Amino acid sequence: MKIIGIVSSGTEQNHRPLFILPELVAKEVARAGALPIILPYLEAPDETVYDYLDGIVLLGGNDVLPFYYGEDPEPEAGPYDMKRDQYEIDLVHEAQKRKIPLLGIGRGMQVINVALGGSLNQSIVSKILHHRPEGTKKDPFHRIQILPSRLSKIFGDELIVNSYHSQSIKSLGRGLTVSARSIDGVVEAIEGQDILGVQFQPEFFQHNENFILLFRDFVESL
Amino acid sequence: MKKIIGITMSRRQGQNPKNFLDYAYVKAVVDAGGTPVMIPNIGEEYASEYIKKIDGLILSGGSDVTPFYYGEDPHKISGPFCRPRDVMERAIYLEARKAGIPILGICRGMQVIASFEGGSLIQDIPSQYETDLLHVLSGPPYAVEHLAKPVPGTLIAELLGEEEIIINSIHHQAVKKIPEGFTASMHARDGMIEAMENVSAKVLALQYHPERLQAEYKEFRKLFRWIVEEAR
Repeated sequence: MKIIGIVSSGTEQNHRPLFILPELVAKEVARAGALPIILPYLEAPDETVYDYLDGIVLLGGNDVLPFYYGEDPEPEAGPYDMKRDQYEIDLVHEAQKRKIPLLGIGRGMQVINVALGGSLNQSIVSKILHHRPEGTKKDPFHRIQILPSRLSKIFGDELIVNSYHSQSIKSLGRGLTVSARSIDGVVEAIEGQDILGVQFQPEFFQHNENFILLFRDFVESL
Repeated sequence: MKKIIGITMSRRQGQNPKNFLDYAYVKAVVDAGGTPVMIPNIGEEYASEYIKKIDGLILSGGSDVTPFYYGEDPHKISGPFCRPRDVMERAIYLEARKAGIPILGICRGMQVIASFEGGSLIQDIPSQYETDLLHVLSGPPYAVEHLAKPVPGTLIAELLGEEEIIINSIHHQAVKKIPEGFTASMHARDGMIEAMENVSAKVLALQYHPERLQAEYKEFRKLFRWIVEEAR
């Protein structure tokens, strides 16, 4: 089986740093046919890790620190985890150099964009669409329009997705294109060389055979 | 190429279950010259695939092993238990044994090895073991320190010396019956088994937490160097 590295997030318990991984995403990667290995973001990856990985998944989580895209933090934004930001940004650069395919989910998509020189809206202002509802992380919530792209080959030109984010892509990073938007213009998916990024969180739809197609497409690209 | 050391993870149940691991395990492997990766609890059917991709296995600490693995019912002061983790670790441990890669069991990891090799556990030290020695505090930070002595001639004695040393202690269960093929290789003054080993199978098991000691007390780093050096 091909190996996909998933970067953990982190927290503290009794003042001890802990790595945390939402199990659903590891299970979906495995169901799509690759072996998930969890990467500890507090230790910089060495050559061994890069030789070992066939693909990398970056997950949802905290906001990316705004100074990585040349801005100051706005009052509504955060929380942040600078060590994870730095680890993931370095990982994106190295993966691009080595042509290791990347899949970004939620924050993961935003980190890829920032690593490649793009920027983020620190809080989405939309009069017509809610992007962070309470309690519907596991349910389809709003539509996205998919442009002709790798993503449209998987899902067609429209998809109903879950939504759980307060930030979104503002300017695009180098070599990236938008492959989906919601009706208010918010970027819902991006693509680039060895890069696929989605703002929604497909791992929550385990019962839905549609969303596994995204992971399958990624595994087949390795 | 450095050796890849796979480390098992704890599991928190729920609608969106989380797997987690203390950073100290990762740091200890890095400090010993290995490359750590974490293994999520995704199901026993993936155990053999994981073993193909790692050079050594660390079974980390965590909740109690479900007692029916050693033929008992849960004692009134035991748990919490986590079946999915038991199932995953059992499969991965047995695959690692079959492949002959080195295995280091820490705390629950030692109890996992005892349970799946035909040994048994003391389910609750305060109510099932006659001792005045404290093996865990009742509140944070939970850890205590006490003395323990390696058994001369064992791998533990080779790595840590034969003198009595100070170890940390955070457990309410412990190994009762040592499995066949294993030797008790370290004891507390109250007779508690603090380490066991099966050298020909490359299995070393510790009731204490050297990953939390090795940054400050460098002698414990030798335990992690052992697994990195033995790794295929």
